[in-house]
Amino acid sequence: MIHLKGGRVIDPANNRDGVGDVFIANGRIAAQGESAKYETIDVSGKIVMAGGIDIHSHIAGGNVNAARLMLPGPYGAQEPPPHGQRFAGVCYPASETGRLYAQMGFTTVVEPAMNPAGAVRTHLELADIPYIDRGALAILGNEDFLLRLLREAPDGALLRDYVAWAVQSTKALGVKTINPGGAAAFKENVRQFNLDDVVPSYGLSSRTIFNALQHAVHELGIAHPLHLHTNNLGMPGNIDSVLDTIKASQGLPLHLAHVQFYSYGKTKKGGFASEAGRLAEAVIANKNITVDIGQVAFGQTITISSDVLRQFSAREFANPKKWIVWDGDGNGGGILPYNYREKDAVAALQWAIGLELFLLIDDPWRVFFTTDHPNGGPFTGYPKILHLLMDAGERARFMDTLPAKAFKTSILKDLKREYSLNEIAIMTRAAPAKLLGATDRGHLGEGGVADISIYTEQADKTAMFAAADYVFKNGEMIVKNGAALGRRMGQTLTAKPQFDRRIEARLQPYYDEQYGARPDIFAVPEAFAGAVSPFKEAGRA
Amino acid sequence: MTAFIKGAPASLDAALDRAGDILRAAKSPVFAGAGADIAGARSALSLAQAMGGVFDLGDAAQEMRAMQGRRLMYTTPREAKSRADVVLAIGEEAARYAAKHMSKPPKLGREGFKAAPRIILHAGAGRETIEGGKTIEASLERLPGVVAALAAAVKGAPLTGYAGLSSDDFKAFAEILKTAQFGVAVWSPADLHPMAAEALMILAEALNAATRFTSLMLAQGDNARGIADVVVWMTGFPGRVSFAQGSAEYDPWRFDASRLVNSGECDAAVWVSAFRAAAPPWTGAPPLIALTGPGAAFAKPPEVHFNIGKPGVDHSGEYYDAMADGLISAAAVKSDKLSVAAVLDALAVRVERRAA
Repeated sequence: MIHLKGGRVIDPANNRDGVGDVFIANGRIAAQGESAKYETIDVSGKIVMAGGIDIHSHIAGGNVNAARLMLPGPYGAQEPPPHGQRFAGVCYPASETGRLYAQMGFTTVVEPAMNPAGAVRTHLELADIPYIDRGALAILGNEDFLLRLLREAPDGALLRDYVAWAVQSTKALGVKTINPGGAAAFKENVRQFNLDDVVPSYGLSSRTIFNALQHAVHELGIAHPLHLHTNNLGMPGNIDSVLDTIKASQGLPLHLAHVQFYSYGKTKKGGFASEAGRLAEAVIANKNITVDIGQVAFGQTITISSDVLRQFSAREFANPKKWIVWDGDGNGGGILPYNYREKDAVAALQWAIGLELFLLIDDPWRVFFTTDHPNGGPFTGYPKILHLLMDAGERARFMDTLPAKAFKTSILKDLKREYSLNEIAIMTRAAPAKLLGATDRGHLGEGGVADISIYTEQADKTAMFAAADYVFKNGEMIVKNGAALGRRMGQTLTAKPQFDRRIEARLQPYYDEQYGARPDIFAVPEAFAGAVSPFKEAGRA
Repeated sequence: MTAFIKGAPASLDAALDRAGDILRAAKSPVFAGAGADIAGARSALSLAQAMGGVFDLGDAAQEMRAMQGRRLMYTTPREAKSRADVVLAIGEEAARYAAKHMSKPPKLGREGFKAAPRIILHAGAGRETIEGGKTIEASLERLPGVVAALAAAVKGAPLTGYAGLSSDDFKAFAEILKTAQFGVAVWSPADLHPMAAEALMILAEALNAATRFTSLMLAQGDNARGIADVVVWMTGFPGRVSFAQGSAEYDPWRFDASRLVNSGECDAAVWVSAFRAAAPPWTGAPPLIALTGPGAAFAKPPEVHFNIGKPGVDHSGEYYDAMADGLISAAAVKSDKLSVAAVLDALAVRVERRAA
């Protein structure tokens, strides 16, 4: 039983922002007087928030391991690699991922790109990440089974059953689709894939595939809307793709991932221009849309994506010059190192576009805080980015160090908005909990899971968010004075949408023919050999 | 019987106590072996870490090296089987694989679902016959040169004859590869020198200028790929790591278990073979604790030997499955046979208890 006394409690989910107390009993937020004996911790002068939630961070899976092999990093290092260090690993080992997130006050993190055929592997790794709770989104939309189903039974009922079956068998929290149809088309030598291009052997467009998945996820009552990585990521002029996608979303819930990478206009010479303004306008106008940013942080990183078509096209930009591109049963993927150099005008523009989007989209309930770790930069760069969002002066100072020509198409210098702590708490706590259907967290109301982070308010927001004074996970103190304590294992959140078993009559012969195995060949069990069940149900709409 | 001390049947407790004594006395133990399920590998890694020992379990070093190279293109066994219209099998293992799994026409691809004749080019000694396949005769030593010549022919680079083949022969083979709609080179990283693997990837990338071409990397058995995966996510490095300095150090030469044993640099060895009954390949003789399937043929009886069950057969377990091309969780009715994790976790308790 713990009494957190006298802090400024910022809990936007419960409209609370003021000095007060928070009580913890039995791992949950409790009412005063629920227990006779409380250990009091004086947090006066400090900021008390729910634990942070990251909805999109590549922390586990085969592609993450490939990235570790390509850019090895230090094990057991006490600090993340120095800013900009070449060849420094940014895909930390599982133990470090949990520790580094916890020390910043994050207590739940979602791996957004679980290859269904690699679900067992991804969950084994997630279960090795200490301190935090995890979740994973299953990638659907490029696999032969789904494409055949959609071609043969376009009414959607069977597709819905298949999606629910896939989510259950891979123990996913939701569904992601990545360049829907693009990976399948790439196998047939298609090199660019737009919203209305069709996958040759199936006659299905990207629009058809993502709409069908959008319906299925919505109708199944999965809380998290379809999580979409659209066509033409990273290409100049791709603003049209994302605006068309928003128009095509039919007013149904849709989450657009790492939108910074789609907010590009094209200059006369074919170069990059900022179209953050147009995207922000479309997001503000379409209330069914949520976005996460994929902010660029400068320095050496590595890009990991299941958009195999994009990664194949981008391989010449690998820095250092090495890459992996693989064709999977569904998406496949590509891994290539990349260095966002501060002197590079394109990198500086990408950095500016991300911030423009954060500042222009004025609804913190619909814009989410990510770097698409490690694609825009490692998650250890979060404190610095929060600083830039909260402090216009810091932004201006940093902009001055970047090449001026990068800002020809950017309005960043005119944006004076500064995020308040309350808005930060919405964007990184209350809103993600709502978006994921993880309603037991992201707030400090009675009965909620006691995931709490406590910071010392200071002008230097980088310092403030880099090291929490205290972090509690399920009521247990896991961080003190910025350093992780002991070792605690969390759980993985899973959704359990219901489905009609008739889909198995189609899956059975397909898997038998394709794999010589039953459809549950890739299924994730309730418990792994030698370990207790690491799963917890969530994600109901 | 389950447990033996110097070849004589012993109770499980006595064997665990004896093995615990050996490890407790060891200053520099190695944890090596031919294979284990994921839980077993994790337990071995944890014990190596706790004791400051060396971990060298499973043999995926060449696969890991391929992942770290300049470029790599690959696909899954399922895609290779269903989609490849031109197959380039490199070496005998690849030829056996292609003959077994890729003899039927492709079902997926640009031709819709229509069957198309599959062309198989086999670079190797020609002992493996593939129906309808063409063979490029080359001994194992000459295979890298043949792959490099093929890559040069595909790229249109200047070329001379090699290994009894003329430059025109290589150009003709290159023309066949270029007809692929979704071509796949089947290869085993264990068989192909890393420089030849690099040449193969140059060939693959060059073919992708106009069409699709990728490769299928055959995995080593005994869950080698799965173990390598675990070591990477737990330590950030591929296999062959030492914890002697506290944090993990990676060095594929220094931390080669056979080298450490034979040079006398370690004073106790734990050997694991969960899927088979393999004995250690080394000739050195530090005190040996062996965990194998029944019937392992040791040069001399290990100090302590545990007969263990097979993952997925005698107990549930997770391991790499070649057709699924990933880790699967195989349920099994629980038997009284021991798992690697059960033995090593019991040893960890003994090591810790007695050290305290």
